[in-house]
Amino acid sequence: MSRTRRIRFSVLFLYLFFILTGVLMLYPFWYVLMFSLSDPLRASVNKLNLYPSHFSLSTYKYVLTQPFLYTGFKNTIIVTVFGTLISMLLTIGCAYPLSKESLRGRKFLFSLIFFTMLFNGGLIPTYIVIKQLHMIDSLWALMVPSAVSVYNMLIMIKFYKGIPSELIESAKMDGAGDWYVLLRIVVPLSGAVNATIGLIYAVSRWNEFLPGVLYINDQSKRVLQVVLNGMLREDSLANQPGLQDLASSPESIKMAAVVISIVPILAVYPYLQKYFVKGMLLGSVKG
Amino acid sequence: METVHTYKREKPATKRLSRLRPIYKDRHLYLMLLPGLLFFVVFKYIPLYGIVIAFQDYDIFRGIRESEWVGWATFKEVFAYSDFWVILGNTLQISVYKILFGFPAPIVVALLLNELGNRYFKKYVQTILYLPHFISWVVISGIVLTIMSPTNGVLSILYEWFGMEPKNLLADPTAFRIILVASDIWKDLGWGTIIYLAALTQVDPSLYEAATVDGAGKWKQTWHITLPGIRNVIVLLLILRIGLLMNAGFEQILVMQNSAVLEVSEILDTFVFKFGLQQGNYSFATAVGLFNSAIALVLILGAQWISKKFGEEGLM
Repeated sequence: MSRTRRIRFSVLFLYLFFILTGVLMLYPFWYVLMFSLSDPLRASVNKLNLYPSHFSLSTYKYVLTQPFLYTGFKNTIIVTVFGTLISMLLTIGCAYPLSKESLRGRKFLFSLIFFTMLFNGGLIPTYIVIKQLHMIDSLWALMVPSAVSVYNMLIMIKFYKGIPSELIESAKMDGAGDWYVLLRIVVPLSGAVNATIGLIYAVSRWNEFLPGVLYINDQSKRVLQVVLNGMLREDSLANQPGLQDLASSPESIKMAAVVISIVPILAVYPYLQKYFVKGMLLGSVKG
Repeated sequence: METVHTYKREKPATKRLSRLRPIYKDRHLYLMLLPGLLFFVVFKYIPLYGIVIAFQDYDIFRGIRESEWVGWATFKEVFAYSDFWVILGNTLQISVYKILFGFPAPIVVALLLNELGNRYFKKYVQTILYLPHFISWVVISGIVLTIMSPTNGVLSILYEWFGMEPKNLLADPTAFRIILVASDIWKDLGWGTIIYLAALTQVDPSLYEAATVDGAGKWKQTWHITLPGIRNVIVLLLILRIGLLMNAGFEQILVMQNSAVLEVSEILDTFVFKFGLQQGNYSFATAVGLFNSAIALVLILGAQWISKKFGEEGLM
């Protein structure tokens, strides 16, 4: 009797724990959303923001007409779309040949690439190279220098290794070349892994902040995260020319900008969750 | 005589050809690799050469070739610079706190998730828990800034309730470190559970049945079956995590810190960025950066060595 009661109590505790954790995870988002839906001038009356105080969409109207945010969005979309494309081309281009055991020099090339995961030149030597390539103040600097993630490449190589070699051999018997095999057999067969890696790249491009601070000074090339950071902070990093008046704008307007910046992530979140977990597991099991 | 000659001349030729044949056969594969390799050479290996500026008095106008060589002088300067030791201390302290509190948290949550009987509830919980992982530090710091605001944040309600003077926690050195660690845990708590949850499915269910028959309760089962069952994964992840000790969280700290807490939150990465890039002390900052990555390399290789010793598969 007492035993079953104890078990019931622990189950109750378990559910309570997760409900509380869930609230803790979601509340900040809810808070921001409700805050952003409040009238900018009367927002701070209701501090918990469980519901909007003086509901108003004026914050969104205001934010969406700000040229800085517009530029930020435009640049981030360009970087996300083309950056992901470049990343995928380079990663697939490396992963497929390196997945072939028979390739001469495979071990050497692989360790050449793997070494970059362990040791790199660091911030300043990389900056100097990018500067010498005349990439400073160009969106290329946000897409190319960090295009390939070795970790993602490892996941891809592992997946390619799992493709039955009979499929490839029989295509080769029929006279198919390596390019044909890659584009018509390997890539179509690895839809799940392509989606996973593509999403990983796209999300990291969307959220990318540091390269935008390091390599971009030109106001018209600022990406979303840099603009947002400028709006949200009134500190030294934020006081970049052109953003001061936004940094002093009412809190609820800043929150509207935050909401707009997360919407695309939320829109793809169901896919993200599904594929990322797969990718995580694929990467964590050594093949 | 003549036949012998031709035989001798032919042999090396065929040998060379047979060695080149597989390379020629795979020429298209090498062509596919070319853009990627070029990427690694240009953006990863050429910067390695750039490290030499740590041993120079680098002048942007003269470039690497023309700048004056100074040997280890810059490193001596770095080690003599008292702030360097404070910054190194901050880096290690923040990182150690993150490991101390951030490492066990997902293990506990994964164990609890594993106990959830209702599959739908579990799915919902996981969906919510993974979400913050995909939000950028810029956005998270913006949310933290607003919630912690002494004038109209959520915390100001608590101050009102308890009749305390509102305080800006983000400007308080002790509180700021706690906020750094807590927000880091908040962001990746759910994400960290994924690998453990996968490991938990590998634990043999018949062990639990046997334990139940023997009258072992939940706690005993967890302690004697579940934890030993995922021990390997825990050890491996802990070792890998320690290998990343020098990463205290560059982006997070850069967007969250303010001048009031600079003393406790400046880390090697943020210092290299500000003092080196923004203020143009290239050689000094490169020396600091090199020191940082050298220690990181030793730690990663050490971690790798230890995990092999433990009989784990390791990273490489």
